[in-house]
Amino acid sequence: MSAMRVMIIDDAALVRLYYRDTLERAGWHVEEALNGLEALEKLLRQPVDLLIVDINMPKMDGITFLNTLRRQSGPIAGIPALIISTESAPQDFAAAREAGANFYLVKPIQPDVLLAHVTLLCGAAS
Amino acid sequence: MATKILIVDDSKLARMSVSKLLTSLRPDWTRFEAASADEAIILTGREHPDVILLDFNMPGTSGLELAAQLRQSHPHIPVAVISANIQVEIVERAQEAGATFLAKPLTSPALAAFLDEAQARLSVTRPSVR
Amino acid sequence: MNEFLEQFLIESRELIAQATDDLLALEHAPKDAARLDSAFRAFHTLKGAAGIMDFDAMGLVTHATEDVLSTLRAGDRAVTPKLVNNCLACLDQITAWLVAMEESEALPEEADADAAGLIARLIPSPRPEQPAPVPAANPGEPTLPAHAAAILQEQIEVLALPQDEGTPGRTAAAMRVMQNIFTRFGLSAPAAPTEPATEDTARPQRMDMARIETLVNLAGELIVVKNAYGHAVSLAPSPALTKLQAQLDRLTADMLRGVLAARVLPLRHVFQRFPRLVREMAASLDKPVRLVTEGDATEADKRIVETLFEPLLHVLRNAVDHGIEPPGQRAAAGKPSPAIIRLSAARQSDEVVIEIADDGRGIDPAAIRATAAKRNLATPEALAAMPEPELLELIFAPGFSTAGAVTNISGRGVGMDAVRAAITQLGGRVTLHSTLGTGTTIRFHLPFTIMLTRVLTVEAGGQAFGIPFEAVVETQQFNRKDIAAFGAAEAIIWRGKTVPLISLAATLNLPDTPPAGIIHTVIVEHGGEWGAIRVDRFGDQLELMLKPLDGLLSGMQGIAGTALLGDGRVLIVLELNEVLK
Repeated sequence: MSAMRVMIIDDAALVRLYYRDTLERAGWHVEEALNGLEALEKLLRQPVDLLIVDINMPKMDGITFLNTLRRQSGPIAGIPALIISTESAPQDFAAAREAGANFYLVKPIQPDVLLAHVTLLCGAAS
Repeated sequence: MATKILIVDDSKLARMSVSKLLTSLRPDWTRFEAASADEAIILTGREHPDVILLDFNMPGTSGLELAAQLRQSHPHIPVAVISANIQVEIVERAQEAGATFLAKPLTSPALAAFLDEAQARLSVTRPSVR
Repeated sequence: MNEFLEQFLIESRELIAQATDDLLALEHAPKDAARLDSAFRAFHTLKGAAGIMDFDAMGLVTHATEDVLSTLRAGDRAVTPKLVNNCLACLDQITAWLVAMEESEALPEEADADAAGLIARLIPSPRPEQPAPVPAANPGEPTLPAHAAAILQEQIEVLALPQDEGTPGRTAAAMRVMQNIFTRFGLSAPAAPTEPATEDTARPQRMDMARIETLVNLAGELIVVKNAYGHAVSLAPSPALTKLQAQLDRLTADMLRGVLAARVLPLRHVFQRFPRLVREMAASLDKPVRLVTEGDATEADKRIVETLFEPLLHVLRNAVDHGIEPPGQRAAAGKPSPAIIRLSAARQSDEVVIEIADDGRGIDPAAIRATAAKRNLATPEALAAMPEPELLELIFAPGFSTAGAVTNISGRGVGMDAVRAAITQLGGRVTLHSTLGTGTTIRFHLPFTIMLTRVLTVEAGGQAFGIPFEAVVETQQFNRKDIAAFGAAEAIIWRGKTVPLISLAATLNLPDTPPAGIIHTVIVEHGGEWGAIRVDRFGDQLELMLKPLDGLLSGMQGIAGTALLGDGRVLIVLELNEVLK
């Protein structure tokens, strides 16, 4: 079976690097996008198995991105999404859920916690 | 942010009983419960509890083993091990693992004393309370 | 009831079952250290529970038992039947206390006196100076990890969001995640030929039953949403929506299968009660009998596991009482002692097969013929000509009993017909094989999960009803003139058969307007009874998850359960037993 593909959508290069490193070591294939708009464009060309989404991003934030994604007509509408954000207010959790996030973790997060959740959300790496 | 406490015991009845004591002693604290050592480790990673109460007698990883592990990974968290076997050996092993020993069934004064001590430790290790 | 007391009763009963199981195993295998540890731990946890409830008497009894068991662990004492009996007596006393507490919701009176007597029996041995510390490994009962449970819970929240254009996308994503978790923890559909799990490690995670019930209910509601979606699509069809609908259909079916597969319990829950009961029955009849259980980790639907106790008890009683010969007869026949009754379970593709096999005398066809003739179940000529398998089936006829003497073990009254009825109700069947002189084997073939009910919807008296599809022979229209009257009753001739005509509306006390011209009937066959059920209109075939009756409808005769339809109406599913009466 080919590797499961995860797309990291975050404007912070350091964060992307950290997730990418953690996930690739565990066998996932990793794609990156710097904001929601870029993610949508990439996804329409090539879907993935899981999205890791930041909330605060330029051009298109994570919530708007998810709202847009879930209203697409193709199969990309149903890609599971994990929000990882520094925001930790109840209204942020609620907004993410309503937009169609499947789970929410608050930054910073440990590698083992990231892997444990990614494994459950989209299945083992390969 | 409210102080968070994690209660680890495989018996739901025991968790309920500890929880009830906490409601009267520290009503403003947020409580989490875990039924096994594995669950406790994951909850600790996710919820970052400030204080942890462990049952000594659990299937799989025992409370003492878990206390020792937590001391490695989260040295700043005050931990108490609760046991019905009040033996010098176990009390000593709890102390070696950096945990406070509490006798089971847990009484309100015993728990209150531990919580006071834990809070004092927290205010030192964490001067700017979140 | 106070939630503490409630939880105390639940946990204590589980621990008592565990301790009983361990003690009985120790009696046969006194050196089984794992069993000893497990028994020790059960008593220790019982002691902890007693402490929480301030129940001193129970605390003392469990403490004393714990001490006795620790002398065994230290090797100072050997396991003897007397010691096992003493420990079992403590468990019996605790069980009695629990019953009293459940009724009075208070600590039992005179418990201290009861406790003193028990402790005196337990403590002739010197108490150990230092009770051994806690046992290390214990099979325990792991649950679904907290983070997986949290993720599942979140998906349920997502599915519960109000509907908008994002709903299909959100639903698809949530269901993908749920399916993935089910697969991950071995809770997925039972399609693959799984080994009948011999070890708990085969499925280490077991979700909390309350959570599973929530999921089952939500899955039921999801089907309603799916049906509603189908209804909406049919009002404004488009290729894209139809495609999504097909996808949703498939995912819903997969998820439901996953959820139902998760609602399982190991058969241990019911099996573990029998070693003790068989031991007592055998002792009271002076027959050395050993019950061997196998495959008790095999899982089956929770509802099935919980309903099996009575039928199994009945069959085991029969085996001990009628199947196993008295010791003298056994010795004369050169058969070994003790007699063995084997209670085993195994998963066979979509079925769970439970087998009760004894090595007793088997069933004598001549005895069946004699009894059947005496009870006028068939003519002597028919009985003489009857092939043996058919003859054995007579045992399942109501009121049949081959016992020469009525004993207080199996008594009179309940027969194998009740066993067969109970198993049939669970969607299973019972088979029987017997060889004279060698023994009898009874098998329950049960479905792995209680799945969807397929119904034909009909309308009568302005209401929608569902008729269980397995009973429907065909739908048939007749002319008014085809109806024959037999006094107050009516019947129609269908394929040369006279079938009673039943107005569904009238049976259910609804306004009934007999049609002038064509009448619509559903021909049904159920439990050997035929009927032509007159309805106003035929509907569709649907697959539904039946909810048991509650509230206003409970206790209403003729109704098996209800389900929600896509357009929001409640569908009442009929119980044909009652309708055909």
